[in-house]
Amino acid sequence: MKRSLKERITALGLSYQKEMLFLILIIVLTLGLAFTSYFFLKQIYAPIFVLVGGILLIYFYLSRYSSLEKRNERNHVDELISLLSYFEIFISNGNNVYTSFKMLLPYAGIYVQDAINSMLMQIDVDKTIGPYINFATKFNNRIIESLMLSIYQMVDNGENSIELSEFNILFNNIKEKHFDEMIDSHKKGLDFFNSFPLIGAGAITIVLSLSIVSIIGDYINVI
Amino acid sequence: MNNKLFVFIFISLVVGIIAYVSLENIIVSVSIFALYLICLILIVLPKIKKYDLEKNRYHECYHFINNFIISLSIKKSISGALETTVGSMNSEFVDMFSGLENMSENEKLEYLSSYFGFYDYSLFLQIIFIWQEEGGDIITMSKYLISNIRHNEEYLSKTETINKRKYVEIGILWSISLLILIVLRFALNDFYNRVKGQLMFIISISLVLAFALFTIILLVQKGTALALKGSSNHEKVA
Repeated sequence: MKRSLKERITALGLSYQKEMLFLILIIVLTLGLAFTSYFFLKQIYAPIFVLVGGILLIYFYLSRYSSLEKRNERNHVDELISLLSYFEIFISNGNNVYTSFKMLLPYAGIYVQDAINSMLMQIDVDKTIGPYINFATKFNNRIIESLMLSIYQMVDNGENSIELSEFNILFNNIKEKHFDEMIDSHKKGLDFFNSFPLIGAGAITIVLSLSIVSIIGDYINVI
Repeated sequence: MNNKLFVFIFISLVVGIIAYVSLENIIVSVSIFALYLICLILIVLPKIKKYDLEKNRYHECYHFINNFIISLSIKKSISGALETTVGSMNSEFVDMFSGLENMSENEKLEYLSSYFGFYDYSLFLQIIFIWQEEGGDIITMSKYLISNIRHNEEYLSKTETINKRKYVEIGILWSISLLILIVLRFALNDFYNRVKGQLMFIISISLVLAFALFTIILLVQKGTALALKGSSNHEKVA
């Protein structure tokens, strides 16, 4: 179901009023700059240039919500995978699935805490796979879905050691993969900075070229 | 700590010299030197200090949990395990621990959760308390916890290696970029003498040098961000 912009902004933990105020500010500044540039330069190209710039700025400002949503989703999955390491510890120390999930609550962030609480409340009235699937859908991730399925199998089969080891095998594979992804994402995050010195070198070259061209221009004017 | 301060002074000095060679303006060069020094000491140094503290504390936590569990499996008593483990820790930890003499063993272990501050330590405590109540094989009981903290240790060491490699890489790339400025300054000497006094030129070169500083700040910020759960307590622990 498609959510409204207001719902999306609120779900991201941002203030709808502040976001809209900033958007209006960008629009007003763009229009003001467009009028001023036309007033002073008396050329149609200047306001068109400013308006195109303003529209691009608004587009990038509004499209950042999708990337924030994706980042949040990834953070929730990361958090849940680290929490499931704790779950594994609780289960291996003789706690049942319900209690182990309950014991995760102090370590969880607000989103995951709400999801666990809501699952536990559903489990109280519904002993089928439903609550586990509902929980997995909140993370929009197939890995979480298969993990929750294996946890349910564990409950369904009386939480015996065979099902426990199946969960362990599955979870350990996921944990290894997740660990590699974490290292990879740290590396990629730093790789981004490789372009900065190149931008700096480009800027130096442009500054020097423009300065030299302006001097040549002066020479030509003198001649 | 002193080494880092020396490196920051060296970087600021080098950038200040580059600014002077390319602009021949003592006020701007000194301002750039001061900007670098202030930003590196006030922004970058605290971030690195916090990162080092967190990383070392986690190493200590890993060492403590590992040693304690092994000692407990041999001695079968909390006091014996605690004595052996504390004996293997560093002097800073031993000093802090010697101040807890009046507490019981369990209170001492609980107090250490504010020293380490990581969620892994509170999980360790839960396992120890379960062991005290129900007994069992502590090695088996803490198998997943040990595997978890070993993963985190590996994460710390891998990210540290990546960070160091990246700092050197970006440092070399920026050095090459700034070298272009110096080479062109001497290769195009005649043009340079006419350009160096222009306000736009001074502003542009200063902005490029400020951009290099911005890169350092962002790089250190990204490199020192650790994904250790519960580690945010550390500022107050320090």
